[in-house]
Amino acid sequence: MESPPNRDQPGTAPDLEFLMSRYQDGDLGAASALIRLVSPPLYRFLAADRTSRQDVEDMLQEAWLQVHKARHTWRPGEPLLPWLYAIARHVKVDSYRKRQRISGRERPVEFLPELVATSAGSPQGLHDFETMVASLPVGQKEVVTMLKVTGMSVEEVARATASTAGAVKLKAHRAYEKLRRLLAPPERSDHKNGGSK
Amino acid sequence: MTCREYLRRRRSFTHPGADSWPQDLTEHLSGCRDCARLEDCLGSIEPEDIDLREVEGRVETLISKDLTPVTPLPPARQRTMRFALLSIVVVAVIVRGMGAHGWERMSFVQAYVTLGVLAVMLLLAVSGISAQMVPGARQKLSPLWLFALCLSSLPLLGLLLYPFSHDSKFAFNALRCWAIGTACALSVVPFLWFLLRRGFPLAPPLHFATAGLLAGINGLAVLELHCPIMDGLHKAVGHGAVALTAALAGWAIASMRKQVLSARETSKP
Repeated sequence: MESPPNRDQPGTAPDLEFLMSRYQDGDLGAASALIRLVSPPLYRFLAADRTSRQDVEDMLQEAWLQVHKARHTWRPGEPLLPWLYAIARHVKVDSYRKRQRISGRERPVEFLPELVATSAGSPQGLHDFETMVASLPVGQKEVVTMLKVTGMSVEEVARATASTAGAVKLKAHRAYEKLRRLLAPPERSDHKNGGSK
Repeated sequence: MTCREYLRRRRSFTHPGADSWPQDLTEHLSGCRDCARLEDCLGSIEPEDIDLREVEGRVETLISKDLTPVTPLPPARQRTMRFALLSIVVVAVIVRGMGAHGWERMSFVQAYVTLGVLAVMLLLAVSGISAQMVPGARQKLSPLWLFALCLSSLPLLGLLLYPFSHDSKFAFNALRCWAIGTACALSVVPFLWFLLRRGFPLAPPLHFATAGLLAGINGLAVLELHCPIMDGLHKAVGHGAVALTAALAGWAIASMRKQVLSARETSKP
């Protein structure tokens, strides 16, 4: 997904920044349209850690409520996605810390909660994105998920993660190297870096 | 092209189908099974039919209760200038009242280097705090560098630019200056709060610490202009401690506030 198309182009997808601007003006229709457009990739971003479906839905709801409280801090003309994903990332981190704090009080249950499902319909043997990315360290997983699921640019991911473009590129590079090693067939898993075409 | 070079270049692009995807990367992919396998994995994201209607409906209901038009925050440059202007006005008013005895005793080099360093510290602090008000805003300097530069530059300047003289009342004078500087820093706080109240910082402890740092720089500026003691160690310790104390106080207040809020949340049924 490249950056959202201009709203002046006929027949193109709605401009997220335009919807957000209308949302700031108090337009409920624009707010609803924005929520419906952005929720699926936002859900996938929040679900990258394979937490329970209920937890992910709670985080999604909380993220939107924080977006609602903070809506006056976005300026028309600025890219929307880094702003939005910075808030979502903050909700995700807060939620993780909260789960860690209360995990000591958990007791075993008979039935496990429903986990977020993997991609339905993936061909047999094809390593799906979520499964492979789940093995990456948190920082790399976050960067690769933002780059691939949301389609944000490196600069936008840097802003959303309060980092620099160089740091984002480095994490992405390390993530791709690791994924490449994991995807290599077992007989070639000794090779750390392919040296030829 | 080796696979290592491919991975290094690949990180700047989104996917092979994008308009900006270079031809040489495509050529490498056509001949390398491992890199092609990686691209298959990265490209295996399918738009899932996730049913989020219930969550979306709940969110729409909640936000419709207080959906009012809002005025966006001013642009970053305007916010930064407001903070800078506040600092300059407060320092000018206080120094006018207390007297610029320090400025009068400084040599030409001491005066303008000190002023220059203070200006740079102020600029860094106001840029930082202005960016922290907006989620995802571009930060020109990481918080670590911001605090390191602001907290070390004036003490270092004091040690390098001013002579050392034996002062029998060193501790008393340092403490006195620290108290005056801290009081001046506190006087800025209500005005700072007014400018910061509409922000939405994602890391409140850092935000409060930066606000403390900015208030501390104001107090430090007053001391540099007012205090007639031209001893390097006195400036490094007695004056330099003001910014450090203010930053730590800001961080401590935010941490306590966060603990109180967390305790309230976990005690809810």
